[in-house]
Amino acid sequence: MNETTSDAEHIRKTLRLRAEALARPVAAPPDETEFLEVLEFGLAEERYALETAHVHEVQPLRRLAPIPCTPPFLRGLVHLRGRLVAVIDLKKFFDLPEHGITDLHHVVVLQKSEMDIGLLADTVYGVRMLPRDAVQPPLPTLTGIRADYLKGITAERVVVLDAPRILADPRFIIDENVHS
Amino acid sequence: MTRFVNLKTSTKLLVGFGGVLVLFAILLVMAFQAIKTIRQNDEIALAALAIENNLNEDRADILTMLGLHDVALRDRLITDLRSLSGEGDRLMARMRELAADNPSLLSGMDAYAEPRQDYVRLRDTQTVPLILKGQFDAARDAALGEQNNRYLAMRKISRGIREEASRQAHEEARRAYIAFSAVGLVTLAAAILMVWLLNRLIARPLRSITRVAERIAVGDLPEDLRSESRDDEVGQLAQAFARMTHSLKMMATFAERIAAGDLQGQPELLSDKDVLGRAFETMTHNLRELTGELAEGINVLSASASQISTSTSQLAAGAMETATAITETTTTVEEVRQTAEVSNDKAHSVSASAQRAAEVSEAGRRSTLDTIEGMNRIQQQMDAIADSMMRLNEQSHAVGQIVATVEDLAGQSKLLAVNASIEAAKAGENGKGFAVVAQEVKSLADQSRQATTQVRTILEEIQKATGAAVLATEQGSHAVEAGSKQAQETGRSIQALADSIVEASEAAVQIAASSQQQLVGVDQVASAMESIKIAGEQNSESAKQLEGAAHSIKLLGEKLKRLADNYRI
Repeated sequence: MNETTSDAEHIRKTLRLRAEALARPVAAPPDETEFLEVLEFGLAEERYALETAHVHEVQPLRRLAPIPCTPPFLRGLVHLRGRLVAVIDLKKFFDLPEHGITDLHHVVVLQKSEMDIGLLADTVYGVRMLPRDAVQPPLPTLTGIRADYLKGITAERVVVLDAPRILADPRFIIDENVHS
Repeated sequence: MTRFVNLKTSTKLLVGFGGVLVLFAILLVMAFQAIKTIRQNDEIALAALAIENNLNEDRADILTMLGLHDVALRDRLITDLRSLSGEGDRLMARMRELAADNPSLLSGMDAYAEPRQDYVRLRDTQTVPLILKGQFDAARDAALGEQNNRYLAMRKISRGIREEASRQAHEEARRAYIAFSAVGLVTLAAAILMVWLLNRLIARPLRSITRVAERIAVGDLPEDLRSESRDDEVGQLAQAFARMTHSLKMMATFAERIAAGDLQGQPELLSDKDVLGRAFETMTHNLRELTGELAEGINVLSASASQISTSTSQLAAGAMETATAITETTTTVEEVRQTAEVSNDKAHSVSASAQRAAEVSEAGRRSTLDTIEGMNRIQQQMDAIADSMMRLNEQSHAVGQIVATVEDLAGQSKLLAVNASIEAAKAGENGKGFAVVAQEVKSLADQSRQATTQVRTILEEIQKATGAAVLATEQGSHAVEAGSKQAQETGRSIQALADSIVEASEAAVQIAASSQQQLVGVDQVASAMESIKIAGEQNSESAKQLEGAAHSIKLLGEKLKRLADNYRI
C-alpha cells in the first residue's frame, strides 16, 4: 500500500515539475517608455547588454585580420559586406580573463559615422526588454573606464553599457603613429 | 739207531739214497756184462753165418763158371771169386778176434780153417786155371768130388760154430735174469726201508711242529711244548719254536700289563732286531704321552662340559624367549597381512579411480579442444564485433559532424533572429510583429541548439560507450586470445594430466599387483613364521634336551677323569 501511494505521489510530483518546467509565463505587453530593449551578450563569465538602438547588427567573427602596431584592445579588422569593422576587445578594459579567439565569437557592430566599431562578444544571448527602473545606476566606487562606459546594472547583474560613450571614446581613434 | 737219529738230515738222505744207488750200480754193471757177452755171442753167430754165405757164393760162382762158357761172365766171376776170398779171410780174422776168450769156439775156428785152406788152394790151382784153359770137364772133375766134400765139411763146421754161439748167448741171458731178479729185490727192500725211516724221523716231527705253528698263527700259545733232545735240524726247529713261544708269551704278558693300565714297564729287547719289542717300546712311550695328553684333554673336556652345561641352560632360557618373540612376531605378521589386504583393496580401488580419472581427463581434454574451438569462434565474433564497433564509431563521428552542422545552423539562425530583432527595433512600430517573429525564430534556434546539445551529449555518450565497447572488444579479443592460449595450455596440461593419470593408473595397477604379491608374500611370511614358531618350539625342546645332554657330558667328563686317573704313567 505504501509503495503504491508513494509511487502515485512520485508520479504526481514528476508531472508537476514537468508542467512547471514547460509552463511559459505570459509576458505583459512591453511599454516603450518603461522598457529598454537591449542586446544581451557575455564576456567571460559576466553578462553585458547594449541598447538595440545603437546596435547595427550581430555577425559571427570570420577572418579576423590582426593589425600590427596597434593597442592590445584592437584585435584586428573584419570585412563585413563591404565595410571594414575594427574589432575592440572590451575584456582588455574590464580586466577580464582572456581565452583566445575562436569561430564561436561574435562581433556586435555599433553604428558610427566615420567607421564601424565591432565589440568582441564571447556569447550572444539575444534581445530582451529590460524595465528602465530595473536598471540601477552603477556604484559610485567604480572609477576609470568602467565608470565611463557603464550605464547601469540590473538585479540580474547584467551590466548595461552606454554605447554612445563607447563610441565617443577618443581612445578608439587610432593614432597613425606607431606607439613605442 | 740214536746215532742215526742225531745225524744231519743231508747225511741221512745221503746214507739212504747212497745204499740204493750202490745197489743200482751193481745191477747196472751186471746188466752191462750180460749184454756184452750176449752181444759177443750174437756177433760170432752172425760172423759164422756170413762165413757160410761166403762159402755158398764161392761155390755158386764156380758152378756157374762150369755151367756157362761166357768169357765176359767168366772174367767177372773170377774177379768176384777173388774178392770173396779176401772177404772170407777178413771174416775169419774178425771171428778169431771176437772169440779170443772163448776156447771152444776157437777150436771150432781152427777146425774150419784147415779144410778152407785146402779148398782155396785147390780152387785157385786147378779149377780156375782149367776153366781158363777151357777144359771144363777137367775143371768139373776137380771141382766136384773131393772139393765138394770139403765144401760140405766146411759148411757143417760153420753151422756148428753158429749153434754153439747161440747156445752160449742163451745161457748167458738166463744167468743174467736170475741175477737181476735177486739184486732188484734187495734194492726195492732198501728203498722201502729208507722211506719208512725218513717218514718216521723227519715228516712226523715236522707235522707236529706245523700244528704248533698253526695254533700260534691263530693266537694260541701252547704251554706244554715238548722240547725234543735232538741235534738235527728238526730238533733245532722244535727248540726255536719253543723259544719263539716263550718270547711271544713274554710280549703277551707285557701287553696284558699295558692293558691293565700299567705303562711304567719296559719290554726286554731279545735282540737288536726285535721288531715287536721295539714296537712295544714305542707303543708304551706313545701310550704314555697319549694318556698324558688324554688326561689333560679330559680335564679340558670336563671344564668345557661344565661351561657347555651353563651355556645350554642359558640357551634354553634364550630359546624360551625366542619362542615368545616369535609368537609376538607371528601376531604382528598377521596384523601386517590384514593391513596388506586393506592396502590391496585400496590399491584396487585406486586403480579403478585412476581408470575413471583417465577417462575423465580424456573427456576434459576433448572439452578443452571444444573450448579452444569455441574460443576461436568467439575470437572471430569478437573481431566481427570490433569491426562493427569501428563502423559504429565512424558513423557516430559522421553523426557528430552532422550535429555540428545543425548546431552551426542553429547558431546562425539565432544570429539571424537577433539581427532581425535589431532590425525590427529599428523599424519602430512597424517592426513589432517582426520582432515577435524574430523572437520566435530565436526561440526555435535556442530549442534546436538545445536539441543539438542533447544530441551531442548523447552522441558523446555513444562515442564514449562505443570507445569503451571497442576497448572492451579489444580487451575481449585479447582476453579471448589469452583464453585460447590458456585453453590450449589447459589442453596440454590436461593432456599431461591425462598422461600422468594414465601413468598413475598403470602405477596403480602395478601397485595393485605388487600389493597382491605383497599379500601373497606376507602370507608366505606368515606361514614361514608359523614354521619358525614350530621350529622355535622344537628349538626350545631341543635346548632342554641339550641341557640334559650337556649334563650327561659333564657327568661323562667326570667319569673320564676318574678313568684317566686309573692309568699310572
